[in-house]
Amino acid sequence: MNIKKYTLLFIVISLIGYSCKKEDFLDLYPKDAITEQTFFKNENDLKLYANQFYPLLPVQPGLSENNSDNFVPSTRDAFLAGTYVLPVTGGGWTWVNERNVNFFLNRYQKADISQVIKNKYVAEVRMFRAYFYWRKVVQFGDVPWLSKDLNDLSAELYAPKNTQKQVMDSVLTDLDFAIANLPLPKDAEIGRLHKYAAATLKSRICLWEGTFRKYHGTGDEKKFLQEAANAAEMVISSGLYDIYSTGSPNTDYYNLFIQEELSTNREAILPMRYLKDIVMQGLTRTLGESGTGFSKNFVRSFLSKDGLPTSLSPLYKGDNTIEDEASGRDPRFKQLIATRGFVYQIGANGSKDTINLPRIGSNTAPTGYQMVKGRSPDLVQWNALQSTLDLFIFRYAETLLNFAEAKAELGDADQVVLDKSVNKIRARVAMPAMKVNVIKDPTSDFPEIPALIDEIRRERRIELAAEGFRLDDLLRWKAGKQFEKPETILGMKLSPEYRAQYPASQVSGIIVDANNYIRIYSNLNNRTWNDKMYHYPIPTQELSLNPKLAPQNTGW
Amino acid sequence: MKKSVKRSRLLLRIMKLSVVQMVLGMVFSGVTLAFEGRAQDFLNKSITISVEDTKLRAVLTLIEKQADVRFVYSSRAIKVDRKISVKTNGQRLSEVLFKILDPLKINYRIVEGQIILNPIDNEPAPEKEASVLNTFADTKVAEKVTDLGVKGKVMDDNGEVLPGVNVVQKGTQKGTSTDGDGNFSIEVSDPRAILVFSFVGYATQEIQVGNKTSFDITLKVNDKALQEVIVVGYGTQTKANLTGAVSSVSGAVLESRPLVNLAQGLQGLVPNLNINLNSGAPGKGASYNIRGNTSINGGGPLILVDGVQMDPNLINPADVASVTVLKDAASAAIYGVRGAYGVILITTKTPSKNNPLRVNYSTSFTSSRPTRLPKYVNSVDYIAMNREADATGGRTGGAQASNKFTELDMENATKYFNDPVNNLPVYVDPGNPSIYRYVGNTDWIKELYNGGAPMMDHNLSLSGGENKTSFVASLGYLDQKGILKITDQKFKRYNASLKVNTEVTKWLDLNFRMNLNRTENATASDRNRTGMAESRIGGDLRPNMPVYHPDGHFSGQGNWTNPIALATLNGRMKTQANDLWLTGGFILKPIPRLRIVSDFTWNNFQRNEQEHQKEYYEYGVDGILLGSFPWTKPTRVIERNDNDYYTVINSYADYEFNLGGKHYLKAMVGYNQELKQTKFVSTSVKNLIDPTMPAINLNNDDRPIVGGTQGDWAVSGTFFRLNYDFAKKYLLEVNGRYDGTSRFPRGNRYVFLPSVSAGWRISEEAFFAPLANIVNDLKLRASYGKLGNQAGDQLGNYPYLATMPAGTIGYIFGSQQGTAVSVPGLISPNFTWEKVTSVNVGLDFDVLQNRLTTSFDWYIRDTRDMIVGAFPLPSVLGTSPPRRNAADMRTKGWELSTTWKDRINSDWSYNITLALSDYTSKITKYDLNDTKTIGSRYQGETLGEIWGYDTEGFFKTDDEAAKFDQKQLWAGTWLAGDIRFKDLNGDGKITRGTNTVGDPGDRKIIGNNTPRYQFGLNLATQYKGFDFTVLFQGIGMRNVAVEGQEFWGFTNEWQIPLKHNLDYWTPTATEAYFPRLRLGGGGNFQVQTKYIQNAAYMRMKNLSFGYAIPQTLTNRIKIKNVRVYVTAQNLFEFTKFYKSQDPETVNQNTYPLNRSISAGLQIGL
Repeated sequence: MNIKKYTLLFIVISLIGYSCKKEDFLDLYPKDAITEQTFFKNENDLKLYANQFYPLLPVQPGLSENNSDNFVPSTRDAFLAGTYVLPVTGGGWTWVNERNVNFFLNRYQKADISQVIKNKYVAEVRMFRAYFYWRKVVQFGDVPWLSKDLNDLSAELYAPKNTQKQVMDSVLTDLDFAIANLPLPKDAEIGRLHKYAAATLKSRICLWEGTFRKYHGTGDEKKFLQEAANAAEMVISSGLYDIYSTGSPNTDYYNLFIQEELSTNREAILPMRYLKDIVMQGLTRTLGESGTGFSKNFVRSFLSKDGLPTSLSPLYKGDNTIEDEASGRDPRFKQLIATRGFVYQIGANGSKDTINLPRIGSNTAPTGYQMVKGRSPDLVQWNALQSTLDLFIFRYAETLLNFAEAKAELGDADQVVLDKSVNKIRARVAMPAMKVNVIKDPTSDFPEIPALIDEIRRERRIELAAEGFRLDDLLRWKAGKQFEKPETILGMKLSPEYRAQYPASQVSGIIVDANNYIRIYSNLNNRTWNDKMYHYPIPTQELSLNPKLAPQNTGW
Repeated sequence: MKKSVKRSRLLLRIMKLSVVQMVLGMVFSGVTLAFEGRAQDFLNKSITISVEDTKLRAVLTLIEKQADVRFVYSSRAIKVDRKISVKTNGQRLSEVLFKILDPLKINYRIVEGQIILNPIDNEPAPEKEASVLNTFADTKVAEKVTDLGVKGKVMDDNGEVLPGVNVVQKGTQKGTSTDGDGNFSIEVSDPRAILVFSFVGYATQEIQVGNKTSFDITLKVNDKALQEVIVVGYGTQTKANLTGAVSSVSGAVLESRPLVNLAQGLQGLVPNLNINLNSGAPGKGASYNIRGNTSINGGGPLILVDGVQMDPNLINPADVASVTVLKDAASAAIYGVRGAYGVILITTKTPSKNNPLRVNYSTSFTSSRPTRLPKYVNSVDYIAMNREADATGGRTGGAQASNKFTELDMENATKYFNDPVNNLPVYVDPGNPSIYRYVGNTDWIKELYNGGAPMMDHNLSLSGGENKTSFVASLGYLDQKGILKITDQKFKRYNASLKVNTEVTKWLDLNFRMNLNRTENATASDRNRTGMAESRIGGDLRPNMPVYHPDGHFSGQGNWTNPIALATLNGRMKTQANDLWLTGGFILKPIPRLRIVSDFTWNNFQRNEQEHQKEYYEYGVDGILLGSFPWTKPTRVIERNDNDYYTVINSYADYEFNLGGKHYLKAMVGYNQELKQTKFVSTSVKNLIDPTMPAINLNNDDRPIVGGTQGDWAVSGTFFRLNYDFAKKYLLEVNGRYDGTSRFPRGNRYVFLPSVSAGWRISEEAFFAPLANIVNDLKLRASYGKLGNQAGDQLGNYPYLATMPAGTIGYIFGSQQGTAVSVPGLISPNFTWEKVTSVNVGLDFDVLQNRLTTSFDWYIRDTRDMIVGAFPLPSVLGTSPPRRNAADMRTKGWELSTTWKDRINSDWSYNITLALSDYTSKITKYDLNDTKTIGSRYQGETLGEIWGYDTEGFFKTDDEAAKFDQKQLWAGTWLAGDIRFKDLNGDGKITRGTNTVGDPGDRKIIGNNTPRYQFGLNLATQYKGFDFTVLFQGIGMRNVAVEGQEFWGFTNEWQIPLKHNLDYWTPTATEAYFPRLRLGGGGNFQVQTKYIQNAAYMRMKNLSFGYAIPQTLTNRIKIKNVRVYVTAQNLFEFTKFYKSQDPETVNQNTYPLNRSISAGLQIGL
């Protein structure tokens, strides 16, 4: 009996013991995640946080110019087709990156390290912030500027927009801080931001803002144009960078974009590196099935080898065939566009697939002008997402073009300026140097602007083709009417004689206009441009959630 | 020791044998201990007598007076003139009886307030404890005979003879049945033999033969339904005394057919236990829901197997003894914060003492085909449609194909289509001489699902028990092949279990359980190409692509993926999981009426997945090597390992007592704690030394990828329950639990959750007596309870802590891939439990001698303070809004379960069961969307509502289309044959308005996708040895707005239209069902009235036909029973849902459900 009683007592006591609150038992914490409370304590934490923004850097994109007058994709670009619908949510009005940079900037001070080291990472993050806000301005014009991360109760959620000028002044402050505090390239780990990457971005952003103000007539453009020129000049005078050249004007430009390693290439201010099995890209394959091609308007803008536009050059043979069209032209023509004799692919057994007639008729090149910049003939690079060719984030040629354009817009472009900028680029492809007193192209797309600025724009269009600048450029120049030109949606000339060289069935579905230029869009003679498209609209739900965002962007 | 023996006699046991089991002669049974109130009543009366050398007859008379009882005995069998001496002082009657009768070798039984005395001929029979209630009331004197032939007659209450009653000598294969006059005769081996009389609809009766040779047996109508013992939280309860909303299903219903998992067997049987089979893929589990919408965060019932949380998809359905569903808060309250949305208690078969060894074996073979599969258009139609849609896009500013079909494609495809023998399904691409263009005509569905898939299962169980120790052991094996034949999927499940109970002393029982659930699955790897392993193959099924090139290589070049090549040439994915459960426990009975039950469970779940991704090559024209198929390159092996530990302590004590006869009280108090720790590790290596060998060690990879996760959660709760009943008429139950969870911080983590329920057994009232013959039972129930919900699985283990995700990024620093830590989500510091309150009112009634049994429940479930994460805030916030307790929802519903069972004659019985339920939910509070933006929740929203446009018809002319403004839906040019929507708000154009409920533009609520009126209708009949069951299951009302490729076809240029899409508008087919062809639909693919589908259905879930070979035959070969059966599952359905999709899964891109036919065999030894 006694044993039983004790057992019972034991059980009862155990039960009561169990019944108490067991807080310790229930105190469980994450074992596989970092918590905010313990982060931002040392340099490594700041670095790890800043790293998340690097994949957002603007990499030379290859095909993102389908939204410009340079390309004619077989599927119409929805925005340029005017089919963009006022969205309820989304539509680019997302502020994740902007919050994430501010989250850092409001907490990095917790780290127990010197201000100098902190500033290095603050500089990186502020450069990203400048970039993110600039893109918001490009898309929407006036936007709210936030300098801290918000929570669900923040009053700033319901704040009005800041003006474009206010936002861009803050962007400029961030850029200047970044340039001042980022290390020199030699002191930065390969791939990390440095002083001249920031200066290049500054020249790009300030040129955009300066010319936007000038051509959209909002005033105060001088300051930004000057900042653009200064930033570019800072990069130039560092002496670290140069135009890549091996003395082969007919291949250097093409080869520059199929390099395995750009980190040692002096034209690369900041390369996007791809290494086998670590991070790889798929541009070569994408370009093989792109469903797009250069537009007639773009191809016409190539100068002839004598430096004169087609309208003036005796070397121009007309465009009855693409072979005629390419002969005697800027050597970049054949380095950008697949023409007869171009080695398209080298097979596993060494057999060469060489271009004869332009490959129209399937999804390779609807316009006949098949873009090959960045496309390697190497079969290995053709494997989807297995290519290790490096791409550019910041390329020196752009810096030079930013410099020349800013100087020209300021009215400060003399021969010295041209010789240390655009003429370096022309020298690579053995084109004659640009002169200050260049003759105005009578068939220019921009008849109203001075000849020099016009020619710098042309040089920019050719040199930076397919690198993602063209739409931004047209918008800042307020050149939306350019999209209305029929040539911007036409392809090469497919005369009956030329067509006859193809198997009939391959080209039977291809339609041409009265002058035998390939028409990509059968029912469309030309696009129409509506000035509201200079900015995207703010999603309707945002306006109803925060009425202070009103007014909606013009025209929407 | 003596005392213990006495108590063991007083422990009255109720054998729970369902009717079906008895009829089928099946031997699995669940035995549950319980106290029986009334017998206890007078056996507890205290007796004080003191006699010396007095005749037994006189002593019994004394006791009769003191205890107000009556003894019944035969004076020839019981020598009442013997003289005895006895002295007691207030001892209980039970003890006194033992003291007096045991030395005289007299046994007693209690029948309706009378104590019947019988002599014990020899040693007490081992079965003496069994079923004392159901004995005979025969007090006639029988001569003691040596002849062991026994005969007799069986009648019912009204004196009608009962033919066909089974008469079996217990523990043997000896048996017979009564003839047309109710007579039987049987030879028994010795006088201790016990005869068991069983008959459908009647209570089974057992009698000891003793020295009698002739018996008149009266079988009573079975009121066992009421005495049935139902497993409830931490205990059991008789059905008669239930006050909450509880349904239960006996394991017997699962035994008559082959089941892939338990859910398949439960579907349609319990009203408002809503089971979603999700998919028909081998090894795929089902999901469970009780009573409809839970929280807007989701959440489902707590599912416990023998008291611990176990994946019901892993257990062997053949091991299940019963399933109880606790639906309302009051019955689930004992489980605290995890029982907010109901509890499913699965009890596996339990050992019972004093049973001979039994061996049961069952097996079945099944062949399956998919229920419904999409039917795609042929190549010529496809190319024509693609070209037409592309052209329309070009003409109107709409989407165009980037990969266009040419005139030549069409020409060659037509040639091949018309004459596949003399034409090739390929031709050389004029744009690229090394690759083909495809012009074949392949029915990919036919290629992928080519033929039926087999399944077989084997189950073996052993059970038995001696005096003290008893056990159940079982082995199960299931082998299933996938119906997506091309993946050659093989799924196997092994279940082994052992349960041992032993009575160490009279006050201590020990028990031990062991379970191993093992699964193996092998299928084609699907890395980077989702759909191969888990679901059907969706994209890239273009009919113009042949399976093979003319030179014999698989087709597929560049952006063409050949699923058959991928399934065949890529590696395999093999998964194996071991789920091991060990439980040890004890039941302690230190003093009478107190029971302490305690057990500890340890579980280890291990899962390993090996994925082999293999590089393979693609070939172009004439077999020219194009390179590797890019998505499975490089060759790689990935090993993923889960290793989870889970421990549970359950401990409770209950005590019951009577106060003055009419008051009965039972109290229970207990404690539960659980801790789960999960760990996951994955490793991925490439550069395999032998690419065909998926061995993780045979690699030359200097950059293996290693990943993993860890997590844990714990709960700790103390609970109690009080049951009170007054005169068996008024029932009251109070439950409560004080519960804590690791998922909230200190100060916020504990909550007290009370509940109460009450019942009124109207049929027990005196005033009800006149109706008693018709209405056997009538009970009204009501309950109220409040439960917390920790919303665990939806919010993760540590929802109150802001964690910063870390990982690698697509950027290289130096020569290393970068790593980064990113921003944490916003956390609201003070969010806490969701609270679930439920009110339940129920009515149970049995009428017409229990022929018609009905249970009806009506409930309201309020979910308050739901944790809301997604609500509209200005996007400048830059992250998802933090979770807040900000929403309330009310779910109202009802459920009805009704059974009619009857006999047509002695050979033929049948029953019909209908389970019917319904619910709807409304958001009653939602602070975070004042503007009532559509798409977010809003106050007043009915869950499942579908907003859409009203279809007016097609535009008749381009001109009409041009004049009508639908620009906001789509800004391109609308044409004749596009859909014209109704201008509901009369503003002359079609818009979305401000996307709010107040201004929805031209939209309105056009339907609701909540499944309404879910039902199951089960018909079963037995005729002699034959049994037949058919189960229909379905949904009475449901709308589904099917979107996506499976309905519209060309949602983009890469999608393939289905045959139903051929009915599209053209200038000559203006009455077509679908609008004109457009890639992406232009603005046509809106949710709209015309295309809402009716997803109501009635499906024949199960049809089974079985035959039990008569025991008279099987006995000769020493086999107790043999049953053979054939079963069909999902044989057909009635629905108006469109043909390409199953109305049950309502998602074309899931692995299809199976239609199957099986044949099976069950043997008992």
